Amino acid sequence: MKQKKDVQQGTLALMVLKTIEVLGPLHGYGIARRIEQISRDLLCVNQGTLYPVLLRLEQEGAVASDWGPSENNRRARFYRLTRAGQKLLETEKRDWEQTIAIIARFFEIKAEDLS
Amino acid sequence: MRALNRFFSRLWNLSSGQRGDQRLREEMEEHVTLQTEENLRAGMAPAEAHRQALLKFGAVGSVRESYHAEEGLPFVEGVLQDFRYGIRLLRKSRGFTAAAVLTLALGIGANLAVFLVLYGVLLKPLPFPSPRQLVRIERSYSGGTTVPAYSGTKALFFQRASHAFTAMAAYDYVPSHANLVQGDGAVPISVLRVTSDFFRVFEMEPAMGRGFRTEDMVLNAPAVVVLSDALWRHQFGGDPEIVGKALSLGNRSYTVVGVANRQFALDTKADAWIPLAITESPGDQSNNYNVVARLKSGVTESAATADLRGVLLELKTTYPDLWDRYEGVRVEDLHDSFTGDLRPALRILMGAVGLLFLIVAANILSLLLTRAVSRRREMSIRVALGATSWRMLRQLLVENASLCILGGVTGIALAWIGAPVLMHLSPLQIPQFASLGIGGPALAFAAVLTLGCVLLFSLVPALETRRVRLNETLQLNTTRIAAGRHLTQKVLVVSEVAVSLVLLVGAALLLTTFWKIIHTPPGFVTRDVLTFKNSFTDQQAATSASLGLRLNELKSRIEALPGVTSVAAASTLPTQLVPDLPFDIVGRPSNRSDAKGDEKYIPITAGFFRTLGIPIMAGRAFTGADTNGSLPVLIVNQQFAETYFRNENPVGQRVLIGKFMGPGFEDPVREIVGVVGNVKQVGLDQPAPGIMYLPAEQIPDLETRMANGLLGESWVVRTESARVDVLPAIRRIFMENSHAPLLSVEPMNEVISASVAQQRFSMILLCGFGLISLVLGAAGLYGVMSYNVQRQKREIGVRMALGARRQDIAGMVLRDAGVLVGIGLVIGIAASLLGAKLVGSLLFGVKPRDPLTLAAASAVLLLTGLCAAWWPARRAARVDPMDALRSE
Repeated sequence: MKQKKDVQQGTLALMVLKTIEVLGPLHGYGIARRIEQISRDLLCVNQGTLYPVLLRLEQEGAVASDWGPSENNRRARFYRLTRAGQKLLETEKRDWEQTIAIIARFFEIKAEDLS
Repeated sequence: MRALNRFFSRLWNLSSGQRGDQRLREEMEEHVTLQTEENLRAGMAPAEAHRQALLKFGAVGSVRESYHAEEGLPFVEGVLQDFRYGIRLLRKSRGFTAAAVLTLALGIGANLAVFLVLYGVLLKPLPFPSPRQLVRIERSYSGGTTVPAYSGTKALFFQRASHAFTAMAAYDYVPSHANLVQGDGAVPISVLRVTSDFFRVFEMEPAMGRGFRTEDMVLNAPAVVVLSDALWRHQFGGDPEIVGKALSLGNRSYTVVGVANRQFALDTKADAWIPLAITESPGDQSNNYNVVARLKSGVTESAATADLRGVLLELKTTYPDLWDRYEGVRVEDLHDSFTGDLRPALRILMGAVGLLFLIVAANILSLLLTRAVSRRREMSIRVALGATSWRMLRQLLVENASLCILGGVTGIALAWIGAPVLMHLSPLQIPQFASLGIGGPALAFAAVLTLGCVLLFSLVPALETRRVRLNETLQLNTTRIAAGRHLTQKVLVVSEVAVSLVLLVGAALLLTTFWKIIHTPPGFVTRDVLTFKNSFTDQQAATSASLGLRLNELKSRIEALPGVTSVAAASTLPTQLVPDLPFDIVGRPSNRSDAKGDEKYIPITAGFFRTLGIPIMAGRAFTGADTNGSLPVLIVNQQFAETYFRNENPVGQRVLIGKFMGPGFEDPVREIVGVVGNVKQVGLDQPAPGIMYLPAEQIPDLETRMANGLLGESWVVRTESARVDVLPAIRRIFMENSHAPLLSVEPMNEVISASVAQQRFSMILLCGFGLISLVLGAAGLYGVMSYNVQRQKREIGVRMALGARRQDIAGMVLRDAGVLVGIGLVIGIAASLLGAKLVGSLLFGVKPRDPLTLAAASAVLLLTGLCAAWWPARRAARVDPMDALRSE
């Protein structure tokens, strides 16, 4: 069996935002499943952190939530991205890309490049 | 921005008590259901599918906790929880709460009230722009004595010859009385004569109209007046058109040119300001004016003093008669010069309430420690359940904060009500500029006190409980017999006793001082004497002869009233302000080398000595025959006779008063016709000064006019008994005869009483503080001893079982208390001896290290301490040994 990794601290919010940006309104279970799916089951979403993160994003105004019917016609809480969330996602995305680029540059470094 | 959004949202959740519990539960259920369904689809058995879903979801409790942590503000919630718990605890033990809150409120309230006065008077800057630049110029003599009065000539000379000041002004040493005539009546007001730059010095030009100009200062210029804001509001209804209107002061008409700024107030009250017309003259020795100035920016007081020293040397060449080689000059900060007299009294008061506060704090701390011991098991359980030491401290802090804030707020309320009452009762001459409102600094002061208490009350018990061994306290310590030692509480009791003793000694010293003062014979009979003042118009007091006639007429009309024994007028009353004048004894070399040669100068009418019962020691009193045309005469008092005629008979000697005082003050050579007993003219606690009494009709006209303007005329009326009410009749006589209202009507007893009011006030306050400290100290001792007896019950039981008698047990408790009080007394006595110097300036007739006072205060404290320990001792003696040994 593959060793599953826990989601890295601080990145879960970003994954949540991106997931609902792409897939539209989703409920908590859906978000967790999708993140695991997208990561090709390499990641395991800790539910203990998912719901607090959703609540924090909602308090920050990045997502909004409403009750709605789920696939099996039960009541579920659906989270969708707000305009502020969209903006937040874009900034976060830029930051990440920058960080990745910097780290990548460090990984590519060879001794002769610095001489 | 996001963080802010989030904070408000959390705050909203917190304050509205809104909880997402329901929502979270539904979401979690839904989540588990969906997971179960998926597991079913993956082919699991239903039970297993559900189990796996739950496993995957994780610990529900921890999800819920972290969800809540995100939802509200956990720290605030925790504090609120502690707070609620604290309040519940306080409500549970009402007796403790009431005692602690009241004691604390008393401590904080008393400190705040005194702080308000101290701040308003000493610390708060004067209400003028750049107040540090304002100075008063004073004459200084060797030995550090300073006299703030200057002659007009010197003031003008300083103004034109000095370079260190941007503006300088002279004003009357004492405001004069004047009658503001309105319709048929007249309102007595106080008027200050000032030179043109007066308002410019303070950089406080009038709020309406203008201040004075140089052309107003010229003799015979149109008479103008600037009103105080208060006078304008009360007498003229705040008339916005007042500038340019005319009003009458006495019989003279003035044009209002301005209304002063509302905040404009100096040390003494003035209702109106009028121009002071002074000119330089080479023989001007009358030192009647204050000189104030504003330093140029960057000029220090010492630089200004040096500048004025140079000016004095110039004076020597310009006005050789006015130069005095003993006279120096001093430039003093104006605020300091206004408040100099109050400083020692206020400092002692602040020190005393500070000490009181220490006792208050020690007392509450001792109570809290006792409580902490009884709560030890609760604390141990908390620790056992995993409370961190920070969490424990936080709880203590929050609990004490509730207690102290309650006390602090009550204290502020007490001070808010109490400070004005205190000021109303206080005879301290609080300068006019001082305001006593509770503002930022006062609140900060109260907050610092409260916070200090919170920290003290929390940290000390916290340090105490740190030593608690978890196991020991949780065990039922049934096997212990001897109680542990409680050093902290004993230290507290000892320090309470020590501080109480210091306060008691201070109170006892002031009490003795006051007793000595009021039992000092004043030199005259105060019973059945009514006093009042009035001021005549300049016209009525134009010449001594005419004023003398008027005085005699009033005197004989009052004397004719039924119930009146005798009447006299004088320029001043005993214990009130008197001018000093220079004089020479005919046939001796001139003794005018410094201010020391001056003596008190009091013009009186016939009957003065008889009315006040001042004994005639030699020669005769004045009679109706000592008139303007008769032989110039003088009566001196014993002190004067002893100083200047030690081995001679003073009667028959001849004296010349005010030789160099300038034109208008020339006095003929006078013959001493009598010597009278000493009167404590400058205060009961001061030695009787030498006094020259003169017939009012015989003094120079200018002297009469000045005395009338500055001091008015004072009257003494002896009646057959204090119950005779002659006042209405006297008022009628004055209104008919001179159209003059009576001022400051009071019996002579009250005049004397008012002269010692400051001492009485300090004495009462300090006695109050001493008494409170005594009660608190006794309560503290009682608390600690009761607690000890309670804890020593088992030990007592064992002792009794071994044959100790009841009185032995009581003796043991009393001995313990005695040791604590004894140590406290030793420390207190040492502190009193060290601090003795501080009160020295307030004492009269008693040494600051008076052994009797120390012994008496110690005895009172020891007795009180033993009384406080008596009840616990009795309780100890009544312990039933069987009960004590059986009980847990």
